[in-house]
Amino acid sequence: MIPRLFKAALLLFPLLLLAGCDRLGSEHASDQTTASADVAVEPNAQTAAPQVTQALTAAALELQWDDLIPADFRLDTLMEKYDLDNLEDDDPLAAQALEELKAFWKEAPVVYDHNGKLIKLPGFVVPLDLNVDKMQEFLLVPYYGACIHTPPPPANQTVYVVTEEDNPFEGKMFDTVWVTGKLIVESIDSTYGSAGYRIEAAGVVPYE
Amino acid sequence: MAILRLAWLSLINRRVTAALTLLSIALSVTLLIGVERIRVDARQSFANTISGTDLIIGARSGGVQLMLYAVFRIGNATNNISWQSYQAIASHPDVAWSVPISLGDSHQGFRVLGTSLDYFNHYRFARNRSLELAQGQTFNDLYDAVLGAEVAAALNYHLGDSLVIAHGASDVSFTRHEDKPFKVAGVLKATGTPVDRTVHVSLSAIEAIHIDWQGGAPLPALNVPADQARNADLTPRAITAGLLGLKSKIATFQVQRFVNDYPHEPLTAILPGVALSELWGIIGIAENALLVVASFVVVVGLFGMLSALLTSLNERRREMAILRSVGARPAHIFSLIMGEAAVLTLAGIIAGLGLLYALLLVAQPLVETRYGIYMAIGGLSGHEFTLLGIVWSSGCLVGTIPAYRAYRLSLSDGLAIRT
Repeated sequence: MIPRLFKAALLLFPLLLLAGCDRLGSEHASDQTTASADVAVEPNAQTAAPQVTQALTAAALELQWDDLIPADFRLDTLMEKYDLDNLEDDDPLAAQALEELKAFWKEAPVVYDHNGKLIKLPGFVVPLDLNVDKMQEFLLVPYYGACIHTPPPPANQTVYVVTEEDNPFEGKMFDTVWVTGKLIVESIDSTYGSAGYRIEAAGVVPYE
Repeated sequence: MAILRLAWLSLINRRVTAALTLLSIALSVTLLIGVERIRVDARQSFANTISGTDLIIGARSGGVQLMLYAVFRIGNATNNISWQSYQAIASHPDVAWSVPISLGDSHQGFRVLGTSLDYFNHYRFARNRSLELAQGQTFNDLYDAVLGAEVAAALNYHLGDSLVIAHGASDVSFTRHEDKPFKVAGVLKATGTPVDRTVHVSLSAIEAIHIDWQGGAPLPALNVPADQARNADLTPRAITAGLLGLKSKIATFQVQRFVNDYPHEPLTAILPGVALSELWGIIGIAENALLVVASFVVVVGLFGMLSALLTSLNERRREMAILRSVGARPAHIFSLIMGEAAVLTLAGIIAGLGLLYALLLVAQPLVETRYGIYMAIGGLSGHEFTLLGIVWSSGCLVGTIPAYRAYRLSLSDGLAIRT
């Protein structure tokens, strides 16, 4: 009695509805409250950036924080040079080694080997400007809490990261991240070192 | 579309219940999206307030508190910094520029900020925009004041008007610096930041209006007339806070350490981004609690719809039987109820958004003047669409319960209703 067209329309209606519900509903609606709360809390860091980064990450040179300190200033080199393991505490050489270490810490010399290279470095994020949900610039440091409780990391263990303008880092303070991008050694006008590292980041992804 | 017409007429027949259901969904949606809006707008508003400042220095206190009073003019300073300490820090070789800030006085509820001309050169807001004058100029004379856009608009001040500064931060003040009136020298363009609600004067002016004050009150015998004060030594003795720009951001932690370890005075230096992150960390808990409450209100609204639909089923058994008699299959009955739930939820969402925008239109100017938070009346964000999508699909899901029941009933009932 109902014309065929109406019948078809009538059948289509629930199908459309169900299709809509399935797509949205099955993901979220199981527990509506927690689902909606979760969405708000999670920083949606996984946007378009990871795809770009994945391609770059393969080509990028993976660095450790020690690689940013010149080899002859590293602690292990110093240990070998003075044979620290076999020195007594009151040995004048030990004091000399300590002085050398302190001097290094103050000068914070940098490594020029990786200048201009595409690198990948893990670290903690310290936000610089007030746009703390979408950071376009931040400092990358090797240890958490670097800004308040302990003496700060020297200039060669602090990397100034600038993201691409349309691709800010959407995360929080002290997030652990992999920063991929071009490492630039630039001279700085500072009493805490004459050069510093900057990364022009192509991508910032959570550290896993 | 006869069947849709029938469905519509059936709904009209139950209009009171339907309207109430719609209203409860609408209100819950207004609450949910409103909470989300306030969260996002407050953050944006704060984020746009200051930019390009590497460190904020002040007396020893908490980072969040220092930032709140120095930048957002919320709360009061714990203590001052001596001018000597400030100058020693400002002349640190790594500091590129510095802006002193002196707070404590007000004009008709608007905070008075004593500063130097560097403020107009170095203060940046909203991703590196600098302050611009709408009229007039920055201060030239000792008793010149530069008004924020909102101060000028609210109090209807023009260039050359004179104003008297009150001692303390209250709207009503019994102690005024009446003997030393200021002249409006300039008005800044609107920025959407606390700068709009600030009266700017020079540091020496702050010193001049307090020149005859001793131990917290003006000494009657010591009254120094305005013009005589010009000849006095107006070097500030103390300021409230300072903004620092560094030559290299790499040295941020080192300069911060230098300030925090400053041997002659207990001081605090903070990174604005870190302090604001800490603040959001605290507020985030409350925000999430609000969002959870708002979500539960939506759930309650949807359950209201569920109970309304379920109750209506019994009275509608005849209706279903008639529909069946004209050829509707049980599946059609299912889709009819389900469609009703979907349409009701959708209408509720639309009505809720309409209510929200109406509220925003009314509240926007009030919130801006009172709390300094600019609420943008823009389109829906992706996140809001997600939230609404979840609400709508939950509505559909809830609709399946009465729909399934109606389906079962129409199968068992057929054309005859056995009661």
